[in-house]
Amino acid sequence: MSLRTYYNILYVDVSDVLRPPGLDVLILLVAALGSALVTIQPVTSPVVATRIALDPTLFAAALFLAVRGSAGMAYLIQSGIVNVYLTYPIGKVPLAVLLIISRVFVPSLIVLAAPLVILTLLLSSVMLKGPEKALGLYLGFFFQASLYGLLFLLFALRSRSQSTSGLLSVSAYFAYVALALILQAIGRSIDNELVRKVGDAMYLPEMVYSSYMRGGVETWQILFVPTIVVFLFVLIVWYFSRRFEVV
Amino acid sequence: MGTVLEVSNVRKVYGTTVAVDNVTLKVHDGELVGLLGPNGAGKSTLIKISLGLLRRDKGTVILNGYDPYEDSRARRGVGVIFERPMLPDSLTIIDLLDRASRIYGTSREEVRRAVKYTGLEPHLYKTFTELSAGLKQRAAIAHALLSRPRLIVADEPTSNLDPIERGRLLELIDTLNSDEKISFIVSSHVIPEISRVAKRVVVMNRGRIILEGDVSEVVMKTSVARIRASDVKALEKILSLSGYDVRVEGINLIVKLKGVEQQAELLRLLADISASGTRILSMDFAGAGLEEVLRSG
Repeated sequence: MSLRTYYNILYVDVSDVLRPPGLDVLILLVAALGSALVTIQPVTSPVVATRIALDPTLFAAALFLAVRGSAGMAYLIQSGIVNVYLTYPIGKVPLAVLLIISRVFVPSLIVLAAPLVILTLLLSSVMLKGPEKALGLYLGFFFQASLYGLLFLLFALRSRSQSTSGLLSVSAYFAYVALALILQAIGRSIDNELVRKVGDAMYLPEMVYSSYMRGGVETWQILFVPTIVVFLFVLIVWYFSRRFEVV
Repeated sequence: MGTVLEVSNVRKVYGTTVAVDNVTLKVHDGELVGLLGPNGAGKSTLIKISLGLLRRDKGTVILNGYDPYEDSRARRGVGVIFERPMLPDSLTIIDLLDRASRIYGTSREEVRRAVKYTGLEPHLYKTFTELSAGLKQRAAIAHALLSRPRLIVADEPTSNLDPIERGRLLELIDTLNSDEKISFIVSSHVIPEISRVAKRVVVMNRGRIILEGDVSEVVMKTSVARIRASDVKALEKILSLSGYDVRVEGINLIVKLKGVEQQAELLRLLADISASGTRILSMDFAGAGLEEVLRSG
């Protein structure tokens, strides 16, 4: 099957995920919020500026992924549109990959890039001091958002219900954040370095930020979130291609 | 004549429910097969298994020479129309059809032909959700035509349409089959619809094929007589004793008949009964309903 086929299926599904209103409004909000937060603080480092702008954006991205990615996927299943996709002469594995790209990766990239672009335009003198570091941190946020998005997508495929997948997704987001904080707190209180480091590693942007600013971050901590992302990616592709059944 | 679809001994179980049980079915090039059965008979499940959308527990399916569950090449040249037509609604109809033609690797000429065939010209710049039920089904057909189909599978395509749209849709299916030589599987639980377009009919009930053959053999040969009489109970008793399959439905007596000979025989018997004092108030013959066909299977 040609790349043209893949591209056009991706185009159709991305059009659905990014259809207005929704993404456009969100982008305006996060871009405005990110740039406002940065400009009211005396920032001189591109890494600090990126972090200030993207920390709140990640929350907005997670909500967007829960609504458009996860609940949107459940709608595709409920409405029968996924049946139409499945009748195209394309294998289930590539279709699963395309759905992950359109429902998780593309929105994550776009939502997180919006404040970064505005930031680069507003504070070019700061951002151009270390664009590779800003990009590295951006990738950290991207992987973190992808982790949430993939988890949410799995809920959608399992539950097939918009409301259930939406609720599960938002709950899972807060549960994940809470678990990271609990592990950090337990690690500190019982003085267990490993537990604390696992808690830290659950938030990749912090690991990337620390490695640029303070050091002392171990390689496995950087790889922790990307490894979960790869695991969830493979799990979804396997589930969609071998276990998922249309209604 | 080549075979487009060959289903052999297919079985599908959901939990403890057997949805499709040991079904074997062949569809040849240019053939229009009607799949008849009540709700829950297993028609949609069989269709989805045939397209590779559902995993089967047993049996083989060969579509266009490939197993559709394992090899996506099986679905090349196969168009699908679902019961509840649904297409992505983020693009206008013309944009969506244009994208679909690129997905199928067909030309823009195919888009123009599909639009012309389905009469969608005035609605090209609407989104799918802005269309009426009939137009949605037409858009789904246009979408199916873009695959340059050798086979179109239509799962209860008329179920959400009003009688006028139903007629138009069946006419379109008939035209595509006779003019373009496209093979069709059309499922329905409405006998007159299937009789109107199909040459061969397969009757399913509880996951099994219970009857199969030419429409004239399977559907047309069974008919019913609806009789009103002064004493329906007495008439029921006499006809039952004479070997007829009868049942009382309200104030009517329904008699199931096989063939014209049995109609003539019944008329003679009724004349005798009438002469002996039971008044026959009215009588008419009608084509068999799904229930009669299922009972004859």
